[in-house]
Amino acid sequence: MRHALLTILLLFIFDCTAQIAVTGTVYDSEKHPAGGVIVRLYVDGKPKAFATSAKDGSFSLKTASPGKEMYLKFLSQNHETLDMPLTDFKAPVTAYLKEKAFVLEEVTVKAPDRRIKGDTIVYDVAAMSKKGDRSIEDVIKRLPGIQVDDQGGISYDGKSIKHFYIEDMDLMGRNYAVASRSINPADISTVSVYERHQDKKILQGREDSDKASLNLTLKKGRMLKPIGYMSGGAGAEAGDGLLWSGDLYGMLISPKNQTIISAKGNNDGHTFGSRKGEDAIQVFSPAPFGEPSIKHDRFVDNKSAFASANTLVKLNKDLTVKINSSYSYNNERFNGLTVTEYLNPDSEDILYSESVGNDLGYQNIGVSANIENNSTKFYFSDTFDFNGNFSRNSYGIDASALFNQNLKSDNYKFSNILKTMINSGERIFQINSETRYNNSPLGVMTARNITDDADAVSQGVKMRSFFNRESTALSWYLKNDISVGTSLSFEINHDSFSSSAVIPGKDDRRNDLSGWSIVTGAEPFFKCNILGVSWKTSLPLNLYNLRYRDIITADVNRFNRLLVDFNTSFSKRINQQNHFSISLGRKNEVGDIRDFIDSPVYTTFRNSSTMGSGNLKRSRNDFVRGAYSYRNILEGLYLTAQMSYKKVNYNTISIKDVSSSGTSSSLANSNSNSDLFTVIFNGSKDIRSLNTTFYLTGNAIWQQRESIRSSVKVNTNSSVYFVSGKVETYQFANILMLSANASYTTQTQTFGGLLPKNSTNNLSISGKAAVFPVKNMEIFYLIDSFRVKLGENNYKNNTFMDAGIKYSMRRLDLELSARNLTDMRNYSYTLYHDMDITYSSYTLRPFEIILSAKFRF
Amino acid sequence: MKSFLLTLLVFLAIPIKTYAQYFILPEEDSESCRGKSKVAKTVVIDTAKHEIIYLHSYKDKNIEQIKTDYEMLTLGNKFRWYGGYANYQLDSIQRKDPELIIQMSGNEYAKFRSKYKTINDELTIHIEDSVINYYGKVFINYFKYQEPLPKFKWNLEDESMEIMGYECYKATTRWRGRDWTAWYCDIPVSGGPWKFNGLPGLILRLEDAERTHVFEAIQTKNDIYNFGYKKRSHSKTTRVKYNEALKDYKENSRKILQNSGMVKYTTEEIEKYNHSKFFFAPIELE
Repeated sequence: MRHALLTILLLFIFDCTAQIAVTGTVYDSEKHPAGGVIVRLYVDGKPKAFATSAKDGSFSLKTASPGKEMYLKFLSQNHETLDMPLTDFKAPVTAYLKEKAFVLEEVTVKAPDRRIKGDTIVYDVAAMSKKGDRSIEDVIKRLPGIQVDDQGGISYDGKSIKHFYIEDMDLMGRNYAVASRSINPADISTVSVYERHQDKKILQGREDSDKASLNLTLKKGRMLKPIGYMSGGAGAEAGDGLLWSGDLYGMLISPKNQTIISAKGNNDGHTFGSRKGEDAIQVFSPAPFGEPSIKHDRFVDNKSAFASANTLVKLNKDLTVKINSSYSYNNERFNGLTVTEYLNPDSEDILYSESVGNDLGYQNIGVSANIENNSTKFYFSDTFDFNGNFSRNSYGIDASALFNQNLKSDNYKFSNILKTMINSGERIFQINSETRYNNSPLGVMTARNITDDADAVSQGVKMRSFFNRESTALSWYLKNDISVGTSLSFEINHDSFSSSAVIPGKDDRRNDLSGWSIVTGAEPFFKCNILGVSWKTSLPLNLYNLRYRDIITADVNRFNRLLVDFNTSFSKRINQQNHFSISLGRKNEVGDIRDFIDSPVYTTFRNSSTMGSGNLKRSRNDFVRGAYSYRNILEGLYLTAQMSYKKVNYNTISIKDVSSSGTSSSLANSNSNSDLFTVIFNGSKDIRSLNTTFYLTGNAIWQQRESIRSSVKVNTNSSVYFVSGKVETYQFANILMLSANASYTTQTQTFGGLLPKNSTNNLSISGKAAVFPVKNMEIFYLIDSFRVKLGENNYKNNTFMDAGIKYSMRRLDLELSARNLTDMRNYSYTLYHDMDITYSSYTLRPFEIILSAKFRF
Repeated sequence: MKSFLLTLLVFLAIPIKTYAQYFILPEEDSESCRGKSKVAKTVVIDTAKHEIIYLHSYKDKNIEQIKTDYEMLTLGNKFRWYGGYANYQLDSIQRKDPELIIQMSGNEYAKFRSKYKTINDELTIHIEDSVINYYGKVFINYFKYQEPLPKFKWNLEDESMEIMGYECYKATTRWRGRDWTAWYCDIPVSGGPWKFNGLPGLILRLEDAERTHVFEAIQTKNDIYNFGYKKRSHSKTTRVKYNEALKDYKENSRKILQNSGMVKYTTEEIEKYNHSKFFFAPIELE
């Protein structure tokens, strides 16, 4: 009996998990059999099986997964759709459908606007560009997830892009702004965003990158012939100044060759190149007395010129050779007045004011050559680079007396970077080599007290640095998305630094150091994919051997230690819309020759900096970071959010001493901590039916760090909140374009009760209105307004207004523009920096009017 | 023997120009530089009720090129048609204004025609008989073959997503050498792009695992018109032979052109072109 009951029980269980079969017949309302009807079986809301009714209306379907809620859906072109709950699947189903003609709603998805092909999003430029766009950069700025900074640097998803391709070739390298700010949108067919772009074919399908790349595809007929423009402009500014500008840009793109040349010159405020060289140690700042954080063309009087020539040749489908060269010359002049209140915890605050005329002259030369073979079996790239930066700056200072300060510094940098990867079935073998030689022969800063006719300070600095890093890596790609491997590296750095400061009536301050550091590293890693979650863990091990010798004191500082770091990250992608990632780890950092620069180096006639404490700086950085992004390209909705926390423990603490004769900053040997918590949010939404895009950006930063001010340890807590919203809309058949942007920043600092807290909030509003009353004509008006805090209950509005009219003929554009319509001559603001408050006022470029003509070919 | 004769017929047919019934443009045309332009007639098989337009992206990994075409599925009472959207657009212009093209000079027609990127291939499906008639072109010769409507073994999955405002469900299958993922909706048509069918709803998105082919529906229309296939001198063949001939042409185009006698290459050119291939991304690998 017991066996029989057990058998019945087993049969019952077995029966519950067996396939269920549903049969039935479909009729119309006249009880005629309805053939060709699609019958779907839904289980718990998901379609699990289907059939099509035969001519006699009969159907039969099976599923192996019954559930709690089951129903049948009947679909037909000649009948109304019917949903029928299925309570007893054993009994045959009879369904009656009402006649109804099938109506297909006419729907159009404007797919040419944007299309997704896997990890590539392709944007049609003709659909994305708007009237008034001057260059392809204006279109790129509009792409979801993209930010473009003032220098033309492009970021996607908060990270700078890896490559800027034109026809899938990277001609311009890091200097792609030369192209993106010059290429006419009318010459470009599509802009593609390659998300998680793996540029090395040998790693494709094996390793994703967390950075994106952009690619421009030219329109048919734009290849194999030079395209570009020539422009010239002349104008005047209020007062007696004459303005001029000239620009030439040419591009020739073919499947096997790309060439871009560019030459520009102007005195209308647009500068080129970098004011600073590429020294590892930046001693002298080009603007040591400060400058406002508005665009240079608002306050800088300049003479600037730039030229660049670039060519890339594709020797075969995998092999390219590229040469890039550039030269820039700038002479910049601007004037400012600053009053700084130095807050002291245990003594009287110090008030200092100075008025400075800055005259900066600098030139950059850059040449690089690259050869690259990018195939699935073998990757090879070698880049040789030379950079020269030559500065001749002069400053006239009116402070407690009149001073004149001059700076002369030259910097030369040579580098060679070699990368090799070999694919051997399931293994990839890498060898990399990087060599750099950086030389700054004597840089001299001299300052003279003109009132007293005496030298104030003469500071000379000489630096040389040689760096070489060799590394290799081996990876094994195992089954089921698992890979293991390790990288080995050997790095040697040889530095020398000498400085000499001569101050009348005081002892000379000298530094003379040289030394080397050797870092031998190994980083084993493990990667796998579990349930769609990608996990990577690595354990960097670094053996440090450092030796620095102080030639003056004959002291030798050594450091020999093995340090262990840790990194782990998880990421998951859910369909094409959602992406999560979280990473955490620990990183140890070890100082360098700067830590032994223990005599002050004068950076201005009254300020000095002692870069080191005499002991090697060390820090331990623990971090955790989480990020989420959502994108629905077809709906035009893009969101990204990031949260991170970083705790750093240092063995040094920064010190700042202030007195009426000057300030000095230095480091002391003492443990200090810093905590940084950051939240960043970005979102954009296209409402295509309204021809409008909304953007919202926000971030919040909380930081705590320790420092010493006038022998008192101060715990500074800062919180900064920033939110920015922008609306861009095109109305009335694109005749009117309106864009409005509002940003609000609030910042608060407290000092552990030792000093009163300071807080500031700034609001900036900018807007652009453009009208296109007739074809080819644009009338535009721009306004930038900054509401800044000057003091308690004391705010100032700095408002800039520009306007212009542009008329385009077939190949010729004429533009008449007026800048600073209100002839505002002064820009004032207050800056809170640590415990100091600086009130600044800078002279602006006056009202200007310029007429320019641009011929496109 | 039969296959030998058929292959012989393919290669012998290459140098022979084939023409069928066309509209003839006026002979006295001083602006024409190519003589008479010709437009093929349509053999009407049914009346269209609805159309679905797909954007078809496909890539040839060997030469690292991607192409896109707009293609259209036409739904009639007894037949369905699949072919180029530009082909439909040209036919629409002809239907609305039959005199327009006839009056064009050769130059004018060439300029007009260049705006429409038509596709040579088209297919019709007889719904009740479950038969496909496929019309294609290899080099300058037209072919047709017939095959039963393929039976797909679809696996229904739980995922869903929205396409063109419709909730779509995921289904997967392996067919003729590729793994396919389809998203079908509630539109009661058991069809989709190209030869794909057999799901309980219209396929709005289809792609293979390597994304060599991606079809996305971008528009639906309710245009009512008579549709069919282009009347040309199609040579009958089979699916396998047609695919082989097309593959041979794409991979050895220079040799075929040389053998046709239409082009004469120098030895250096033959050596240079031996390694060049035409863009070729077949949907069927088997």
